[in-house]
Amino acid sequence: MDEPIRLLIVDDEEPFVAALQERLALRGFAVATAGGGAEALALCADDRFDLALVDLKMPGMDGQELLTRLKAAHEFLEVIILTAHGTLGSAVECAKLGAFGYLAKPCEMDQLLEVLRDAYAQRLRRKFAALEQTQQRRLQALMDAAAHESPLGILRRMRELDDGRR
Amino acid sequence: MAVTGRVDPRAARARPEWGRDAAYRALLRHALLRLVFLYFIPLLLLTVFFHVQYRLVVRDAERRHLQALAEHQAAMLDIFLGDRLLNLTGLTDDPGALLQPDRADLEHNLAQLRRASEAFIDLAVFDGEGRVLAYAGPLPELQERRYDQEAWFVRLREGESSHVITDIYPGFRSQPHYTMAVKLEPAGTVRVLRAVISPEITAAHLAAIEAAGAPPHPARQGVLAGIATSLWLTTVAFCLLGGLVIGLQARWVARQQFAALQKEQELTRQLIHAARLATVGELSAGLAHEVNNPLAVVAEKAGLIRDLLDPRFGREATPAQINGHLEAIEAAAYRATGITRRLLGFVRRGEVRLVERDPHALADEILEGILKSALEHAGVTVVRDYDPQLGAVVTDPDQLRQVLLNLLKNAIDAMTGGGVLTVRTRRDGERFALEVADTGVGMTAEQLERVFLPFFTTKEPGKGTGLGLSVSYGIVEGLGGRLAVASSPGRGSTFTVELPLRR
Repeated sequence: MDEPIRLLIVDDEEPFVAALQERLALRGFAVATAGGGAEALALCADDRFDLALVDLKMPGMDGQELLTRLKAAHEFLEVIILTAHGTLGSAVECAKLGAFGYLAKPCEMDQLLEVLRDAYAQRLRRKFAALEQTQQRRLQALMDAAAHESPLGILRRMRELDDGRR
Repeated sequence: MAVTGRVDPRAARARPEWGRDAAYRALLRHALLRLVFLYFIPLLLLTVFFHVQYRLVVRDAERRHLQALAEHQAAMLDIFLGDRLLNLTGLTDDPGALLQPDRADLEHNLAQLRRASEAFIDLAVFDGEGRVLAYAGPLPELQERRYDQEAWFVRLREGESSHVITDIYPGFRSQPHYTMAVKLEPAGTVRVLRAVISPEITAAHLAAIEAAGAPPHPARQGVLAGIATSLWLTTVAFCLLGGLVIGLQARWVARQQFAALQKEQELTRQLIHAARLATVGELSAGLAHEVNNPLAVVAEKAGLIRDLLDPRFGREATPAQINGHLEAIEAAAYRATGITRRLLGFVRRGEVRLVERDPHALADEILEGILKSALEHAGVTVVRDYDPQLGAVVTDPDQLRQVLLNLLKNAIDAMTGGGVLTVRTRRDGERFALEVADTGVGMTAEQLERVFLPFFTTKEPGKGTGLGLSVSYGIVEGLGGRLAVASSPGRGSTFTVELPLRR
């Protein structure tokens, strides 16, 4: 792994968070922790995490709300739910809200690692797909412009597309 | 007797301790009173009614008998007196002899009459003015009397009839007697021949006739008295028999009711237990969280220790570090044990047992135990307003805990967005009140009306059974108290448990 996967663990169970953070760090993850929803949102502000591991039942903002808000703010952030009181109903609910995975506590390390890697792969795929789609759209726009416009017009169009992407 | 596990209702029925149970004896007393009221009193009324009827009938028969007897005797008297009149008129074959009657003749005539009947006492001849012309008999002094004012004489002188027979009257001789007189008019001169008849001899005569042929009077033979006695005996025997039947019936009824009561109590116990289990079921999601969280800590800490000892990761762990992680594992394990123990303590099912318990400790136990995480997650602040005057009370702690848990859980459920939960106690004479107030959604008037009905719930499907409050209501009533509620939509609800200090 060239670049470490950046992971945020959101859970109010302090000894658990500490142990998990250390174990995942040993396995090459760059791990940050948050004790609650508000703290997690603040930490995520500049899009610096690839993945978030979120507990459902927390004082203040609960996991489902946090999931909704994270997905709304960060398109490519993959969220995995790790909860102590998993039910089928809540799993379905979380999947609908865009969670990548739904794990029950206590969770074996191998399983957790597998889900985290899958989630990271998914993030990369979606990011590339989005990038490709943007480039495709740009190329198409240039082709359209080339067919109808003067060289000056083509230049202007290119500048517009660049501005739009930014 | 603290029993864990189910009480087999068949076993309870097989070994009934009827006599020693106060409830059974109360039932028996009620059944007896009711049956006596239902059977004995109407029976007694009927008996009295028939007795009175019988007396009336007997009296009527007696009266009829006497009437018949009187008529019979009147007829006999008529016949007797008619005979005597014939005797008297038979003397007057020669009315002329009466113009100048003479005593010797009259004596002779009296003797003749007395031969016909001993009832003749004397004989007299009167002129038209009621003066005695001649007299034969035992009272010659009566000759000086004037009879013209005597009723019978007046009747004879003025009446159509030529003879008169009086009723018994005392007359001049001051002795009861009949007077029998015949009016004669020899040669146009009025003469009255009068005889006096003794009522005693008449009565003796009639009695002799009656003794020979008239029906006997029943009262005289003790027949009526005998019937009355046997009637009373029958009544008493009947009442005794009725009492026996009533006693047996009352016993039977009381046993049936007692068995039904026991069954009902058993069903109530089962319902309370079912509601308790349902509450636990509702809590179990939260409790799974409670147990799984420490387990997750155990798993991660154990994994971490293994990682630290794993040469692949190349970490040099000091024993102090590992010790720290082991302590965390222990703490988590004990936390999990505490949770399961609390849960089992709540589910334990037992007989009603009354012990001294501080209600504040009971409330704190729930708030800091089984509901602790629920309170934290819901963001609810707990305010305790305990009355320091209220010490230990005598009640069933298991049942009171069930009620309190229900009320507190409802309060938390009503405050999804956080709020203030107030637990207040108050001593009020021989009773105390325990108040659970929330600042949650509250209830409308319609909801409030049905809040204690079984299966009524305002929670989402699957979240509540609707049994908690109805069972709590039953429990509080069973402990001799009251469960009241006040609520307004949007402002919260207050449930008040009012119980006696000693039960």
